[in-house]
Amino acid sequence: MKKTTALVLAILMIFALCACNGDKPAPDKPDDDAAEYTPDYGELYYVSGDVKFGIMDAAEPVLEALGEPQGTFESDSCAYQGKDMFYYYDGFEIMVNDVDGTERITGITLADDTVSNPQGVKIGMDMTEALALMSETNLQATQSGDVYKFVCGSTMLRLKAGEDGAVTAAEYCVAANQED
Amino acid sequence: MITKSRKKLHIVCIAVCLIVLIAAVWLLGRLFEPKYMSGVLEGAMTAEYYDEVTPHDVVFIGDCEVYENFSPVTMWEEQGITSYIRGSAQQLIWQSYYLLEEVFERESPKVVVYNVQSMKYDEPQSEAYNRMTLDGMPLSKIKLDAIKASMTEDEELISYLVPLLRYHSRWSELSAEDFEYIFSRDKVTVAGYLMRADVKPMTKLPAAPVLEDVTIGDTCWEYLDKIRETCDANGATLILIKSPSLWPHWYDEWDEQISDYANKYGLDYINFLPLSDDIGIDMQTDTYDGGLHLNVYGAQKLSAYFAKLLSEDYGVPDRRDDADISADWAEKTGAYYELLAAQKAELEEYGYLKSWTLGE
Repeated sequence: MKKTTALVLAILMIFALCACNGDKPAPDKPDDDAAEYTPDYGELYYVSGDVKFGIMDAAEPVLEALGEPQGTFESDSCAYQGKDMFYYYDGFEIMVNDVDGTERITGITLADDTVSNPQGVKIGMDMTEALALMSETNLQATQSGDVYKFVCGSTMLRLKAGEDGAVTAAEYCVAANQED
Repeated sequence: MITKSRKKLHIVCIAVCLIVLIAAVWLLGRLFEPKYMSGVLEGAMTAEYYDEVTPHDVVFIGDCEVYENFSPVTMWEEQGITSYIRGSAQQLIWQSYYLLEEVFERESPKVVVYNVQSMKYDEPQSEAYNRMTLDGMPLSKIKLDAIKASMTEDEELISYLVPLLRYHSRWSELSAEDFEYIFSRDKVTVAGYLMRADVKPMTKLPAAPVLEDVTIGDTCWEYLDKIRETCDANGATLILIKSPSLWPHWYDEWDEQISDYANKYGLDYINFLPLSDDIGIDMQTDTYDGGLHLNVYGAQKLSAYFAKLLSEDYGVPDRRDDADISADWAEKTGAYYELLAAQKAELEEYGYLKSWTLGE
């Protein structure tokens, strides 16, 4: 009798184990990084026309205000279900990801020299001039090779210098995701 | 006397209980683990290799840039080359190494092809991708080493060995698929190739993200050394490739480092990106996701080109005279065209691949 009870208890334990909710979701579907961000970009935002937006802003109202994009691109590397969505506009691109169930802006890239950021930085200008313009923000630049970084909250602005000392790339991204 | 037989009975009861317990844990683990038979198919790929019945002269290792972009059936049809793709979603280089170790335990390929795209990752990235690559491996020292090398901070080795520990939270989302495929799975690839017959032309690619550090990480070099050394030890020629996928961006700085490594060790490194025109790849018709991966039409072009190279420059033999091998490949070829016809029929009916994707 005792053994039978033990056996029943053992099997019940298995079912109890199955019934409990795990700490993590089952990983059959790749999940996004669950870290929460609050829009805290300070001066590191972008403006297009009357639309001001920054990293971790909810994407929907921004995209609606910006109007129809020139094009879109989605990247779902390998089997990944959470896609990187790119929206192309005149002179800049926006990347959007699902963050904890909300579509948020996770990247803003200046695509050409027809636009500039609120401080006046644009592609092709001398990096020294760009750094001087960025000094208005009172944010300290840190250098890593030919890349200059400004961080405010969870937003990072990266400016890349070419061999001729000109700004060849400018992008706002999530400070926690320093690599693609 | 009575005490002795009671003791024996105790032991038998305990043994029976343990067996029942282990069987229950195993069975529930089988039930709860994801089957990858619809939607995300990539998790079912690793296990399919162990069902192969004839040897392969060429083995590919790497991420989606091999299993989406090369068609072993085309290589067979064009040059009589036997090949298999041991690819998996976001396969990291240490996983490629351990999967290759498994290959050499089972067979002796003449050529190993490694796609270098994943060398941008120098540390474990995601449990979900780890699971898709590792869960299908049979238990062995190689698997244990692969798990240890792959685990992210939050993962535990035991959960790979006892799937129930990891997947029990799926109890509330079990579907008919979980019961149907509890003991056996359908094949989702043909010789490791995951077919997509749909077309989504490339339009414009995003600007390449700014990289603060373009140096390929030490761990990647360490495992590339291991791949090279194990190929040497097993008499296989290692070819490094960068397949012609246009996104994620492949940086010139990465390319230079791979080229330098290849030169240093006398390896061939073929970057297919600048060869796309020669191969005949047209990203208006040969990709199913705007330039990330080739569709079946692009894969056929790339495979025909590469098969010719393997045949002419590397002396990979034509096996079409071997009856057993030919019979096996006749079966694979049949499955390939059956799959292609099925995908074309779905595209015709729904306008997208309903059974092979998560939907539009």
